[in-house]
Amino acid sequence: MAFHQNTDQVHRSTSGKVKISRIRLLAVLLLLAAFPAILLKTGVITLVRGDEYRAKAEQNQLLDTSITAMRGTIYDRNMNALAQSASGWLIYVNPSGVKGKGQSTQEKEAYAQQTRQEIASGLAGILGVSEESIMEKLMKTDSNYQRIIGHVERPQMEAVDSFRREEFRGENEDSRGFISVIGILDDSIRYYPNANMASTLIGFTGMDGNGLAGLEAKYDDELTGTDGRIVSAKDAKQNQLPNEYEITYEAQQGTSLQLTIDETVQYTLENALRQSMEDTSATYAYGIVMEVDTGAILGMVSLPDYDLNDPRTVTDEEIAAARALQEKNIEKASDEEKAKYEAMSEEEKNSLAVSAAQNAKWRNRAISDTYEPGSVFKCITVSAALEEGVVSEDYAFTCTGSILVADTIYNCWRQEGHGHETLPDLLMNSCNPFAITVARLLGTEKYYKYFEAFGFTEKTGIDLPGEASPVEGSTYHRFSDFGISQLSSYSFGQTFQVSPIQMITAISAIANGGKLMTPYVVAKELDEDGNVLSVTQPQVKRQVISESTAQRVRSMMERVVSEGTGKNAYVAGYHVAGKTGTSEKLQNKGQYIASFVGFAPADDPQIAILIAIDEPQGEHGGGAIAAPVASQVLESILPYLNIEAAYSEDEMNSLISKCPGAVGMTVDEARSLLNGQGYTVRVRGEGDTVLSQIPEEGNQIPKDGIIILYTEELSEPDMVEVPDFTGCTESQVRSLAKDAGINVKLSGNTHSGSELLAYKQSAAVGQQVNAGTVVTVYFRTTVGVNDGTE
Amino acid sequence: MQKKQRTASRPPLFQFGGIDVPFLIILCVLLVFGLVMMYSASIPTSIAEYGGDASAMFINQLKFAGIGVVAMLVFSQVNTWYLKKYSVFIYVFGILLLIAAFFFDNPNYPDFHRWIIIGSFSFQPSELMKFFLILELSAVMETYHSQIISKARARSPLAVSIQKKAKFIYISESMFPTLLCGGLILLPALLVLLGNHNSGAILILLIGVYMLFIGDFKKGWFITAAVVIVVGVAAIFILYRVDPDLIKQIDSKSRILSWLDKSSDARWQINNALYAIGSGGLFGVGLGNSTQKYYYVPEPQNDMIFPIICEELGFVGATLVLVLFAALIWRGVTIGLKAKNRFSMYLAVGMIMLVGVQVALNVAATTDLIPNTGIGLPFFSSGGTSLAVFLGQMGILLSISRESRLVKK
Repeated sequence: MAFHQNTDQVHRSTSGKVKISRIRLLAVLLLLAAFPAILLKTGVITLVRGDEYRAKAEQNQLLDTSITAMRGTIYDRNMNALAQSASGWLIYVNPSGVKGKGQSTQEKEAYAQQTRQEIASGLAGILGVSEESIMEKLMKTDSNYQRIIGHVERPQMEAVDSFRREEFRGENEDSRGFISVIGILDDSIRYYPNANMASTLIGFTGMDGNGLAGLEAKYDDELTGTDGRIVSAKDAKQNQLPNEYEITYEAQQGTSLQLTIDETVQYTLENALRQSMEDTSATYAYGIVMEVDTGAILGMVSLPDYDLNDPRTVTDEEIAAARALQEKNIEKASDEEKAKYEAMSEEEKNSLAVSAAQNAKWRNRAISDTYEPGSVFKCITVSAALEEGVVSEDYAFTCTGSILVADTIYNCWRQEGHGHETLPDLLMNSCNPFAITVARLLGTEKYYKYFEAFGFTEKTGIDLPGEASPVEGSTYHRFSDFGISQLSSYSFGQTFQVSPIQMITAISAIANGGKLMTPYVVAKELDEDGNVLSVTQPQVKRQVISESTAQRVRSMMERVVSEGTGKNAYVAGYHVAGKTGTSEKLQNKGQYIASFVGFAPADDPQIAILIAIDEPQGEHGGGAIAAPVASQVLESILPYLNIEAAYSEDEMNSLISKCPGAVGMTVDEARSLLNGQGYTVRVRGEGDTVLSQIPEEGNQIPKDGIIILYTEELSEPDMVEVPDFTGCTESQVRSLAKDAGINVKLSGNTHSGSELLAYKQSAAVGQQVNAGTVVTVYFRTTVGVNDGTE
Repeated sequence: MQKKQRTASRPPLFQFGGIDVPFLIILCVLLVFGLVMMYSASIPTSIAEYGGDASAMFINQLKFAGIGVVAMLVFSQVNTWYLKKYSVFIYVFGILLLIAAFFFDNPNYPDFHRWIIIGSFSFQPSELMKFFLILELSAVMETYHSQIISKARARSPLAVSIQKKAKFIYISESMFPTLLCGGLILLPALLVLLGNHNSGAILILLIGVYMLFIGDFKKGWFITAAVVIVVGVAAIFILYRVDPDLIKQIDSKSRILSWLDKSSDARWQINNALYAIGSGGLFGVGLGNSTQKYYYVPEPQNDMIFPIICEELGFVGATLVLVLFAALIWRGVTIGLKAKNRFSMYLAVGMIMLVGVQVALNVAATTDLIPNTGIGLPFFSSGGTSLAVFLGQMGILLSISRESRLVKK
């Protein structure tokens, strides 16, 4: 109130005297009211609520960058990489980050447009993406993320990075990089060095790196690893700040898998099946090679397959085939579904076909498909009967060509019948009435028990996704429905379905002494440094039959190959046991599945093999078309797996050995050396010294082969024409080869049974080859290999 | 009478010696402190807007600081008599500059006409106008002081004749200076408002109010003004309670709304300012270490520099800033109170109060006490014209201090 007094003084004061009271009031208001107030508020914010605000600020400021963990590698059993990851990057644009500059809206837009153009052409140049498509994405100005391309490799990523940091000099004097528009994200590349190899088994990953099929999907969690993080400070434009605060949590690479798959076995199996599929014009072909004692899968093939590096591409033919199948299926569908399909646009129908075509290739039929095993199943029937002691090897039966069971006549595939038979003949001849008789001796209860014991009512539990699930009442009969007629048809493998993996696992149980194994493909899990994290222990599900029963069935199965319907599975130097099967497809009448399931060596089984040719055209017997494939595969993988061969005298003659070297010797020396070892020698040229030879030293050559020696430099090797060997007997082939001046390697069934005829050769007829070249000729028999489709 | 005296004894233009040293010291500390903080706060914006050149904005500020210091040194030696003598011309010059600004376009801010641009050099005439207004009001209020405080009837022939014809009209002697001063204030305020510079207009009005207040204008005016302001603020609060959309119509930049509604999206600016202040704690994160200045706080080098000071130097730093300003203002007011004449007193207090009002408004806005005003912090915020003009004014204050000492001697 002192101010009031002063104010009063104003009125009393005379002109010229300085009045100061109001000034004091103002100063007091400012310095003692306003300033303390703002200081107090500052104090409250900094000291009282400081922690709260600091937390919010940090929440905004922390830049949490994820480091994608490298996906684990998938190796074969010899540590050859089948699936690998490499660093890769994803390039994206932030269309909302394109800024205009200028006074008018038009000017701004023109500036922004120019910026977009620069970015689009720059990125297109580096990434090989079309400029228009980038431009299109940049025009989505509401968006802050538009993916341009993923899986970019380091040089391109670095080029993009330096491009976006470069200064942009537009028409205006402004210069600023594109860093707020172009973004780079971590995006590892998964690649598969062997392209198609084991594709349906390995599977592939999606755009986000997640496994979508096969092992990649099954072991996705293990393979994925743990992403790392970089926590650092960022500015409001999402860029890293230049200061010190940064914590890195390293990414942890995913677990690597070491498979039981052997690249060589896989490759051999794949090649043989591919060739056979081509030869027989089959729709599908699949095969499995399994280690009988452990259940480890050495090779698993399902054709058609696909390039793992490009899983989504399908050819026009594949789409057309899928479309045709789709249309065929819709014919059988309900009216409702038919109408729904008709209502689809052409585009929809096509996209349906595309995805069907993709799925057809991705499907691992060796585990996902089911089929009627046919005569192969007679091995199971015989095993059960022997185990239960209802029959023995000398059990006799007379096949009249048919048998009557509960008002149904079951025909044998051989109309005139097999006549008198003992138990081994059941398998050798693949005799249906005999199988039915043996099964009836067992009875439904015991038979069903073995059906279950061999694992046909359960999944094998293989560590792969998509294994076919047996469904009671659908893929096989309930026990309550399992009557005498079911028993009869089951005995020779019909009216129910099994998956290939179930079948080979059951046959492996016969091979390994009666143990039903759980098949598996992952042998070990390894960490980043190759340390073993876990080892898959072979798992015995149960003892299905006794060791001795298994032994007895094995010897009968060996005779199937050496004397019976499986002759074409013969491999020189090895005893192969097996059983062929042919079955008509239930859903697709007139189409067959030809199969062979066997193991080797018969006396000490190491590996089991299943070959199935699905919908072959023309010849469709398992003994005729599946067994030769098994022979071809076994011939090369048995020696590879260090399983020792024991050749008969016959077999010795056509053996292959390493070609001795004669280069540098005089012609006479060479002649005496090579002739002494049984080779035929031809000399070309007038020189005294051998300068080169065909085949070259170390190459494979039959023991009685021909070697061409060249004694003059620059002399062109002799060219000869490859003759047509198909349909020839072994001796005819040998003489044709000798005349032509080439070597032949005999392969396939060269010794088991009669009427062994060449059916395939490794070099095309009429092809010009160097004299002395080794051509492989494959033999098989067409006699006595029929295995009983009625 | 007075007019004759002045023309009779024309003083020398320059007089030397005897300036107020404490004031000069505080001013120099504030200037250096301000430049350092401005450099720190401007780095991110400078990088972004000057093609990666972190110090571009600071160097620009430094140039104006140089101009300002020269202006300060010159004005500290100039006799204030000349300022009063030419105040009318200076005022008119300022008004012309404000009009001229309408003919310049700033490419970065096409809707604003606050700048006069000559080549690469640009300045805001409103910054000058604030000072010119203080100067002109000081002169007019001294000249008409006796009429201003008089309660008698006006004695001018025009007033007398009006009152003779209409007896019920009472024309006080204070009417003419009141109208004159009102016009002097409203004209630039209106021009600045038309140039889309609201905070400038508000400041000009505020200057007018406190100048008239210290000029001994009648209490009633200020009581009326206070009532109007209180009613206005109350009306805004009530309107907000009734229907926030009504406020949006008068509040294009959502400054009022974002102050009232603490959950508003428009609050990101003030929120980031608060985060910055809060992040500082007692001692701050260290000079140059602010994170919030990296584009979180808008205009961290300009009207939002106070939060950056808080973040980097903490509550201690903020207190130091306010204490330095308080000391400067106290010293400035003291100079004014000791001034040799009414004109010098008005001028000194007017100029130092401008500093104080800007500091108070700036800090109050950045600490969310009042709606965001966009008024800079003197000597700290970027903006060359403002800095140079403030320094020039401080030079005049020094001159006034010198003159009062000469009178004593």
